Amino acid sequence: MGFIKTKRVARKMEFLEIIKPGLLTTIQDLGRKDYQIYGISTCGAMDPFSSRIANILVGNNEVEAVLEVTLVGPKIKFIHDGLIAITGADLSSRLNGETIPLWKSIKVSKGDILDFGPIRYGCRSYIAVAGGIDVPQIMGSKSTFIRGGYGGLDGRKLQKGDTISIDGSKLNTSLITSRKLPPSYILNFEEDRKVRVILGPQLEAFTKDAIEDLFLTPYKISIDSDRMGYRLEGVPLTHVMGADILSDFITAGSIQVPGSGQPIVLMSDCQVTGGYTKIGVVIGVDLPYLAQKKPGDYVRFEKIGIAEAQRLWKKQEQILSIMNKVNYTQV
Amino acid sequence: MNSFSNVQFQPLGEQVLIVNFKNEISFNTNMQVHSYALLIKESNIRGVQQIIPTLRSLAVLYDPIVIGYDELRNQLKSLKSIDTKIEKNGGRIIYIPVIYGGEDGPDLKEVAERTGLSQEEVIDIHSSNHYLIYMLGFTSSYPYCGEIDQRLSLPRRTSPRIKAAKGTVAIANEQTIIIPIESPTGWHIIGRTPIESFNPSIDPPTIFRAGDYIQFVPISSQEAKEWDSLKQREWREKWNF
Repeated sequence: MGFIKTKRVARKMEFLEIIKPGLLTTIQDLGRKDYQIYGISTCGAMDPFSSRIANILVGNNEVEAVLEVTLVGPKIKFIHDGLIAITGADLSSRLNGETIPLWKSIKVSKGDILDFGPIRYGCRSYIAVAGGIDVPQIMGSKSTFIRGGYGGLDGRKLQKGDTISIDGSKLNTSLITSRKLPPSYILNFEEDRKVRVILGPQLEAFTKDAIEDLFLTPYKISIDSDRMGYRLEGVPLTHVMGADILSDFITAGSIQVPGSGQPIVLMSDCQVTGGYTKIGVVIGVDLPYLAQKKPGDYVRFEKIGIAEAQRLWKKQEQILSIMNKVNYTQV
Repeated sequence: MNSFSNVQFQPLGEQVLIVNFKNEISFNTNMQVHSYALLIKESNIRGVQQIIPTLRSLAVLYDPIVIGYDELRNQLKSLKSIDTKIEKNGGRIIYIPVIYGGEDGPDLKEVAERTGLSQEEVIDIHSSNHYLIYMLGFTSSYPYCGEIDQRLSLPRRTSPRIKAAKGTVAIANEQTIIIPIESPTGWHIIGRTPIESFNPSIDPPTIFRAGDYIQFVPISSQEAKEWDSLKQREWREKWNF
């Protein structure tokens, strides 16, 4: 006989209903990073920073799944009292018609209606719900992969009439009251800010001009952009020899340049191997800024060294780690 | 086994280091990739999270909070080769039943014509050797294998097929592949396997690992028709994988 442990028993509780789904609302967490070795796309939140913060604000583990809302927000009815937080893009979120702030936990009551209005800035909002979203994990993740037809809710975007359940045993709203992200930590998606890039790995495949052009001129985000990749339009980046390489590993942020010379930045749903030359990679702390750009917006790139990029990543993770600790001592 | 003095290191962003080998698709180069992947794995370098072999390179995913790029590169450079360990450790042989030709292999006839072989010869050659799985790639655990007999080597189709069935077995250049989910392909479709190699609900989702071998075994279309989960279990017990 072993020891008897007291264990919290998960309690499925219907929490919200989708009245209108919006343009593309999906369930996402931080993805399937450990399954890339099996040739599996990572998926997960396009702007992982906003997703992590949203969870922390409602007392969840930062890796929990959230709703990723794209451009046109959903209309949601709450079936139960609870706590939510919205982060990322400002899509004019309203509770019962009243504007509600981003980056702040908000109590909701049974019958409340959350909806969205015009886009003020950004592309994707994240809605975290205290207690986490109760859907099965596929390969260690709740992230929806529409192309593969798995993850999230039946591998698809949310539809009218869907209900989302949470783990009711984790819901204790009385312990968290109006938690707010200190303004200095809020990412400013409104400001036109350069996105930093580490050059390579196939730098020698490009002309000197191409490397200069990447940083000199803005690139427009094409209408064909999606969660798999952002297609950019601008000054073509010329190759020395050709655009193809023997397929190798690629990851979100990689800037592939096919024969057309028009770059494609790979995003969360990207394939794990690719056969085009890569001129550079968007650094981890700047991926959220790119993910918050929408088709028609412009992006300007800036060169950064690897040591500096790693220092910035470390700084971000230290801040998040402190916020997580605060979370666990409070809960 | 070769030493690894000729490899090149490159950053892919601030959290991935790429190790490049000779710029070719070949059995020998890919064996070096797998051998080096094993070497890195066994060296247990702090901060290394995943090692992902591809055709002629491998990706080392690491935590930059634990180890910086320069330090990781230096530690990788100082690793010594491990002789023939890969032969002992790697490489299960996975037997894959295939129905060749007909509607399951719509390009078999054309492959035979273009290579000057009979359809039977193409089948014999394709199923006479086991192939190394160079990498698992694209979006859903596609095993890229090689190298196939020179006599079967053809460039990709100029017009890709819109729809390859789940389980499609195809060839192009010196490689052969299984397409685990229905998708478009530019490769030559010579057959189909009824075996379910990919299932996202199972962990791990694929029966393959890069570094394993695939041996194709021709079966009749009658056998394929009667294929079910029981048959699949019997097959896997018979071939021990």
